Amino acid sequence: MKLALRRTAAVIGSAVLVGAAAAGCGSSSGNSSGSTQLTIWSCTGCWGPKFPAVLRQFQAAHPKVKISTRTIPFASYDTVLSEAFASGSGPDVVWINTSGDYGLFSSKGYLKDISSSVVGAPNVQASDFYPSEWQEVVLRQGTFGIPIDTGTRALYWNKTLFKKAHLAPFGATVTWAQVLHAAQKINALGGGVSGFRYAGGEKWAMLYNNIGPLVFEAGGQLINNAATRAYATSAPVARAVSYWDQLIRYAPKADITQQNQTVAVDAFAANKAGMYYNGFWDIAAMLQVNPKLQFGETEMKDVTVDSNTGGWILSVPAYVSSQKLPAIKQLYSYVFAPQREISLTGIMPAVKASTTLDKAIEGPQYQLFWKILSEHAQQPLPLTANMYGEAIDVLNAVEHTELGQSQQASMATLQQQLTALLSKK
Amino acid sequence: MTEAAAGSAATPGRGLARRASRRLAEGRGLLGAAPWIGPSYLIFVLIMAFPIAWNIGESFFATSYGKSTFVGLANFRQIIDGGQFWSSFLLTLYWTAGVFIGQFVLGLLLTLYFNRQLWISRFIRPLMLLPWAIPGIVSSTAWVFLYSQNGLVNQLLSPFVKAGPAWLADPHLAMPAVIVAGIWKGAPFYFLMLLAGLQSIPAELIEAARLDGAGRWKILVRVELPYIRNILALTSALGLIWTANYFDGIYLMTGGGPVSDTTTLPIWIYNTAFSDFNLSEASALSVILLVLVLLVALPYLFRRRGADAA
Amino acid sequence: MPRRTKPRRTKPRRTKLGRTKLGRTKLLAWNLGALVICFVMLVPFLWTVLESFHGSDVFGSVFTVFRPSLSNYRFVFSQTQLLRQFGNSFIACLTAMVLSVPVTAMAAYGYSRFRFRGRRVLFFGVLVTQILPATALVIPLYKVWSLGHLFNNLLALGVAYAAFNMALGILLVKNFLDNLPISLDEAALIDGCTRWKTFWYVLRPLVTPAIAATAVFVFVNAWQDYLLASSLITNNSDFTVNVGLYSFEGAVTTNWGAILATSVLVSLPSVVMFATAQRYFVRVVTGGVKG
Repeated sequence: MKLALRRTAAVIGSAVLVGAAAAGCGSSSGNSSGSTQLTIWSCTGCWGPKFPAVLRQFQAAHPKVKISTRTIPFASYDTVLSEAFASGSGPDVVWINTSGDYGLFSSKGYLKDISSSVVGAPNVQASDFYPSEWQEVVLRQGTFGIPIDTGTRALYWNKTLFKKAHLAPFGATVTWAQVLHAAQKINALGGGVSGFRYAGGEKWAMLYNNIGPLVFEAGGQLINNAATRAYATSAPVARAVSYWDQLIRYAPKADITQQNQTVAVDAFAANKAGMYYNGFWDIAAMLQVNPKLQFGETEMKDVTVDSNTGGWILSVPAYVSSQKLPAIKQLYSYVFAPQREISLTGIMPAVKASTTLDKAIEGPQYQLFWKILSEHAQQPLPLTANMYGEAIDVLNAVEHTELGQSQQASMATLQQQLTALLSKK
Repeated sequence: MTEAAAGSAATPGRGLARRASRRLAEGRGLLGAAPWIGPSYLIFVLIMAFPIAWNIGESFFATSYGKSTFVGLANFRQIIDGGQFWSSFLLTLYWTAGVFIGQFVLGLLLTLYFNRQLWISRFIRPLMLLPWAIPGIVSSTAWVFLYSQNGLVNQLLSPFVKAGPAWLADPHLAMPAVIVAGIWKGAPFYFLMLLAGLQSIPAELIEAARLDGAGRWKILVRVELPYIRNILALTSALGLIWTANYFDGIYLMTGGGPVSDTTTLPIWIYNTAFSDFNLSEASALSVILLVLVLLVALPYLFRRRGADAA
Repeated sequence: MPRRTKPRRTKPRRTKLGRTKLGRTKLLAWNLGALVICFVMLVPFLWTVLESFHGSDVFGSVFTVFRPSLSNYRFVFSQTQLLRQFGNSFIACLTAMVLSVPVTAMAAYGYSRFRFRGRRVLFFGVLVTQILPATALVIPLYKVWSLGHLFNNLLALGVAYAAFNMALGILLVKNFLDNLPISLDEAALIDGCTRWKTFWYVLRPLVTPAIAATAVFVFVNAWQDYLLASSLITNNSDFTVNVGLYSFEGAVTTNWGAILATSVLVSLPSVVMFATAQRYFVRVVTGGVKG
């Protein structure tokens, strides 16, 4: 008797659970009586201290739009985003972490083409942005996001260590030979001090921070703008890679596998690294670690000038219903108005600044970045849907060289891989 | 079990009645068992059935720009033909064998040491379980530091080796380094199981063996280990599966690098799914991993059959 | 009643730990040796603990210069959601534990005491749940969660934890039950107990150690999880401790001090669990040992 009861209970219980699980099979509705619900995702700490305030102001100005936000720890941002995209439920508007992810997500069809729905709205037109920034988001297949900020990078050098090594301070620009020489002398100081460090972390970041700009400075490209040909075995690339090979001898080998960008930054701030190459966002971080840090910035200049790479991009996932697009359009217009979001988030905007009032970050340490952005901003690596895969291949090739394989062999393999990748599209 | 057999052998007249009561105790039929194993299977089905099925299904498709097309075995062919497969497969074997054997041996050594009356054991044993109990990021952060150029490992080696290598960045040393960290993390589990097992062996058995003239080693191999072979089989089977699957520690320490020198199959799956966002290929890889591990786990299944014969 | 030919033994006699009496100094030496071994084994963790009390902002310098300070802990307790996250973790992990205990025990009884077609297959299926890595399963799981509107549901997360971690328990308890003579069952059933009563009153007390071990295993494994929690919990206020731990690692800055302090705190509950339950572990295998 008891057994039968228990058996029935089990059956009912399982039915209830299954029912509960299936209950939510309806679409995630966002509209009720004319108001639109938008969810925005970003990673923790990525959108700066004042973006939430901008969102609140937007809601005040547009009472029919309700915004909720979610921040995801940086370490799992890509993971959670891909889960959301793959399963078709998640944010309505999302911060995409630069060109690598942007290319990848759009190639999988995860992002919505907004070239006709959002582009063209006030403040969201090509003329509002720096040309290179705009080029970053316009793909052959469409425009899948709007650039928020830049990823301008420059070479940081540690004044304290330079003094210790009796090196003359760098000027506004430096040659490759000067950098190499300085790295060598600082490395010789010993005591756990390295002449140079990779600001590593995720593999694509290694590419941006390290080999990519060098290739561009050598006057070359890894892939042409039309993404039809690869130039891994060309002379400029060979030059860049062999230079790179020499330079990284003055960096800790462990940087190759370092999963975290901030390790190099921390080392630099602790006066344990002579130079590294990374973006403007590190300045605040470095000064937080060591307020008394003495550092300078310079452009590595030889054949051609320094370059800028991508930053954050604001996108709309593909599954978002077109009912929400009007509200999203309003949000974009609001957020990209130069005087507002850009000046409050403390980042370097992709939006062209016409007056100093619009400059988000002020201070002598940021001057070089502004200069690079307005005068010389270019993409060192043309954006393709396979950006990430290409980055990995390039990085592997470079690491192979570093780990002892002949440079020619590595580059030849890379050429093969890139060609194969490109011919697939 | 042995008792039941002894009983029936000693009193043959009651064999029939005994078998009858035995059948009463030993249930027959799925319907009878259902309420017992039902809840566990319900939970398994609710949580895992769809994901496993989805994975297997997805491995036969390819996705591009939102469109999924059925490609049959193309994903599998591409993986197996690609250069990465062999290296990842071998690395997985290397990792699994190295870590499993290492964990077992270390656990056994610790067990042999602690298998005596020590008042300090009560405090030490919970602490010895710490490596297993702490989260992956904690142990990985610590080991990355220990393996760094100026870390403890190189400092300890400094009397013998002038400049210690960058362990995790060296293509030949990265895997052994990660294996050592893996052994450290998992050995407490074996320590636990083996110690409990050995401590439960009746003293008379050991005494009898010793009186027969067996040495320490012989006692261990011929008396003690066979006595606990069921638990041994259980922990080994699960341990192998868990080790083959292990992801956290390796990824947090090297990300699969340098280049791909520590990219075991689980790492490859993760990178394919969450860096390349190639879900179809990741699913195909998961299926391959599933098949490989099943092949290893099958012997456990057949062994169990033998053990259940009584 | 016919007499039995052999005297009956209900349980193997408890063995005396250690076979030879050690002299006083030898004993002390062995104990000290144990301490040394423990110390050596725990070096990585000791480093974490030391470094968490280190005041400097520079990571890794504890062996050169040590300035003890509570700043990391102060930060973690005042500026973060640590206590709340601990609470969330406890909810999820305790759910997993409380759910898996009866479910595991019952399943083990089913596999041990029943013979039916497909038993081996179903039992093997339990093992199969351990084979696919969580990284492969998390995306479709996310889909399931989104269909069921289960995000931020710590109880649902607990159920997921149970599913991923019950296998060891089922195997362990089944093994244990297999070694309890079936005559116990028979005796109870002949006396008129239902199967359920047999299980509850006769077998359960004997199996409690294995069940306790299962509970601890499930808790500790669930406590360590990051992948599921980070995917299935979306509200900051519902994060578990591991997710909170990872969130100190940022895009731009990494708060190593906070990571270390939180790491030490996060490691404590598992140790406490083990310490309280360790006596059960000895008995776990005692009954399940006869080959």
